[in-house]
Amino acid sequence: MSYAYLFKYIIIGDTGVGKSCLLLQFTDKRFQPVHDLTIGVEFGARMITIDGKQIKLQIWDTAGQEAFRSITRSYYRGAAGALLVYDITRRDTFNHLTTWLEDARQHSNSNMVIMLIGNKSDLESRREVKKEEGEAFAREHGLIFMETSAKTAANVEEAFINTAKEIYEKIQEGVFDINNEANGIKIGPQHSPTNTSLPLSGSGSSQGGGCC
Amino acid sequence: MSSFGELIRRASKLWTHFEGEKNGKPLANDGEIIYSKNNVCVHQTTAEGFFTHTPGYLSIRVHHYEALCSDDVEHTLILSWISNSTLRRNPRSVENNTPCNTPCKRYTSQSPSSESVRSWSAKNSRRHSFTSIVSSEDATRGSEVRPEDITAALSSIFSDSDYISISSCNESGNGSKPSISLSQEGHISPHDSPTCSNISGSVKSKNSLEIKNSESIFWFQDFDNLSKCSRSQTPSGYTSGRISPASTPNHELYGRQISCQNASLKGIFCVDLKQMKSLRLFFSSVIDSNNDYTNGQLVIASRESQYKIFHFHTGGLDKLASVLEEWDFLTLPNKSRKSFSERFIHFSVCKPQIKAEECHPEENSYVKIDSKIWKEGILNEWGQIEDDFNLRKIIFFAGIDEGIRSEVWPFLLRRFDYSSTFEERKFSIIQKEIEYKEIDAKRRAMSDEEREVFWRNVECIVEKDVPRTDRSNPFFAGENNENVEVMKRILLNYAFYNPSMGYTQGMSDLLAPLLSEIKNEFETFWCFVGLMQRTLFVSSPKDVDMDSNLSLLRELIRLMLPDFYKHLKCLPDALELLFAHRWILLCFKREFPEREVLKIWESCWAHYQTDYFHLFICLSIISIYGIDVLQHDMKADEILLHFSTLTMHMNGDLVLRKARGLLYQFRLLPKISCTLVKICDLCGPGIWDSGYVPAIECVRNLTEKDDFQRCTCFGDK
Repeated sequence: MSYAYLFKYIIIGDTGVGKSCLLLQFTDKRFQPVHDLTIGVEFGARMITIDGKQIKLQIWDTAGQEAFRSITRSYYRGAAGALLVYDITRRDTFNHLTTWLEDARQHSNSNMVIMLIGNKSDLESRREVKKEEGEAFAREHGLIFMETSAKTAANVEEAFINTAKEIYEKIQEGVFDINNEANGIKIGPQHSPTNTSLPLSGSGSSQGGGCC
Repeated sequence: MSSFGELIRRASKLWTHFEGEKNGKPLANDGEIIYSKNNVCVHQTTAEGFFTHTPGYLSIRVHHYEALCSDDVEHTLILSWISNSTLRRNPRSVENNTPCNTPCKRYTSQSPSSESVRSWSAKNSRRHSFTSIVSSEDATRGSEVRPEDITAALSSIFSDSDYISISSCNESGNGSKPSISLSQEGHISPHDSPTCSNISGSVKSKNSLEIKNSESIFWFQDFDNLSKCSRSQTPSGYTSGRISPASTPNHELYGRQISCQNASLKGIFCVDLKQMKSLRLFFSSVIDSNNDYTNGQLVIASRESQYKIFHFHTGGLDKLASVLEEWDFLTLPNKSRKSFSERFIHFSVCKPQIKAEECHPEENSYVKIDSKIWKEGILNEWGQIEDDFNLRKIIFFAGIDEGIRSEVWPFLLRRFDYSSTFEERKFSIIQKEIEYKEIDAKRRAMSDEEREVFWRNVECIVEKDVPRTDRSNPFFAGENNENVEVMKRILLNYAFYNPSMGYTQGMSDLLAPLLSEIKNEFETFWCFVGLMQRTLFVSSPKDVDMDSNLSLLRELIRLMLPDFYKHLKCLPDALELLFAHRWILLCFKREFPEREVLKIWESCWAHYQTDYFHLFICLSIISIYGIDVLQHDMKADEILLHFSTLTMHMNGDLVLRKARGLLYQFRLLPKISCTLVKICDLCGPGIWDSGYVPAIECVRNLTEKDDFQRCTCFGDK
């Protein structure tokens, strides 16, 4: 269960756009049509592999209602990535993106990777926001964009993993200072500088890899 | 049978004696099981305190390995747990799982032949079929099985005969304190990954172990069915259901999962205790039939602060404590190797039991109010409550019977005056029904424009939230449940009736238990009005309410839990107390099972000695469950994670008891800071002529931040 890096993600967006369902689909590979209302913050985590490296995503799932924005803002601290979610069947949720984005930009570190997600792509017949509109918004604001369906799992993996790839590239480029935890990146326990004497190969970790 | 048991007990005592004479040498053999207990549960929690118990068999066995730095044989303990359903599905399944990261695996994994199997079936009425596995020394030393080993295993079956449990054979290894060092990172490097443990995927089917708990006192069902049904019906994210590894096998959630995915799918958990960060025993405050504390939880934390929680419902936790105390060498750093003094593993076994002196002196002096007491002792012949102070005091200490909630709550929620008579209340009910219907009618008669605004700000959110609230409560379960519609109407009418409050997420959480107890739509509405307006833990859309609660809590922590405060103060952002946000917002609704939550609510609603009892509950949680925070030097994020993983795993009764004790201690303080004056506000002095007025000390200049509140010393309020 060792990991090279831990990335902190935050999922934001209006209430009922499917934030918790996206998380559940990603971490559990299942869909729950009626998901309990999120109050405060809930957590999820999953291990992924990028470039042969184990990366642990620690995902903070937040409450969507306006009243909780002041608290949501505190969750931005130290997030390396954010999934900004709207519901393609509710234009309101798309219209509010600007506010969310302002909040995110204001309260997070400037390098935070933001992925724009148009969720509920399975509900094509009830679509109110065209895919092109999402793409245009993303282009305009420099975000990555994807339409997903937490129900069918379409693009869910990709959304989380592409965000991680982007962060990973930024680390490689030296944009992120990985020793500053305020950037939402932690180095895995076996990889941390204090333990550099610790070899990573060896039977212990290879066996571990087989399990997890 | 009893004489046989006696014989075994004596035999095992002899063994103990013999072992004790070895003077500090490693006493237990490789593979020896020093503790075992069946029906240890992993919980999947859903809302409303509905638990999915996943019972299993827990054992701790000694594992020998060769120290890398010397020729000594070192010891560690392997804890394994196998769910009953796994055992049932594969009766010849699993024992000696060995975690992958055990420092050195030479002894066990290379020499499976050393394990010998003895089986023994209980022929008595308990219908346990149990096979004990006793590993002798490794192959190099010969593989004969000493009778004592079996004796020890057998004695474990016979002790605790009142229970279906198989409890520990803690006699073996009694008094043994072998001097064994902890393995250190950086030294035993290739093997010693300081992470959580893994399970070797392969299951050895040499040993069979079967537990038929047909007489189980729990409503255990097949785990798969249970989890399936709770998945389809229950939105689990609500509670920690999502967090529990048992419920979500593929779900590696921060702060919980220790075993690997495949293993937890199989209902197996196995770790090398030496590789763990901490091991904690939380004793339940409820005493068992022998007047003893034997139930509770075992919480194992990996070095990454991931948790696994085992529930002991049928005793055995006390025995586990004593076994672990005997093996306390695990907690001691090896003095001979001082070079690795960095990260020692904490094997603290603590009993967060409340000592008598921590409790309120009046604890246990009241009996909870039941229907008889209510009718005969509280209400007078006209239905008035003459001494509401006394009533509130009893509720504060002892609570009320579930059956009379719908009668008592309207008083606590100020729906009725304590002094009102039967007649007056009857009249009021009629009046308030009319009033409610008027509100409802007016709401439906809104102009198109108003309706549009109302829809956008309130209705569309309520519509989304109501179906996401308490659906596991049978009262709200199922499709097209009329009660869900009623909940929606109440919320809409409330937002219409009180537009300044409107609707905020969380209100549905507070309303649901009210409705399911009171049941009547308009009476529930008026109680909800009382709850929102008069109580102080409101789910208010205004940050100002939350801020004032958090400021008071911060001050209380500073005063009552100075060590914790010091820790928070050193961290950036920790004093924001984010971890307590949901506690206050929903008054602990999502932190404890509903049975306990309602008790907590009632004790808060009693407004006994303070209007801010909920903050003492917060303090109590921190003081009981926050020890880890200090010990492991957690940062703000980690503190938040720590407490959210404890969701639904805390002991509400214990928390409540401690909270009452804390309030008592607070009231004994000769002087309090001006920032806490509000805490002393009361809804009435009760039988006393004066309120409680401690000396006030202005600390405005002492506090670092000036944003606490305007100083009340100057009379502005």
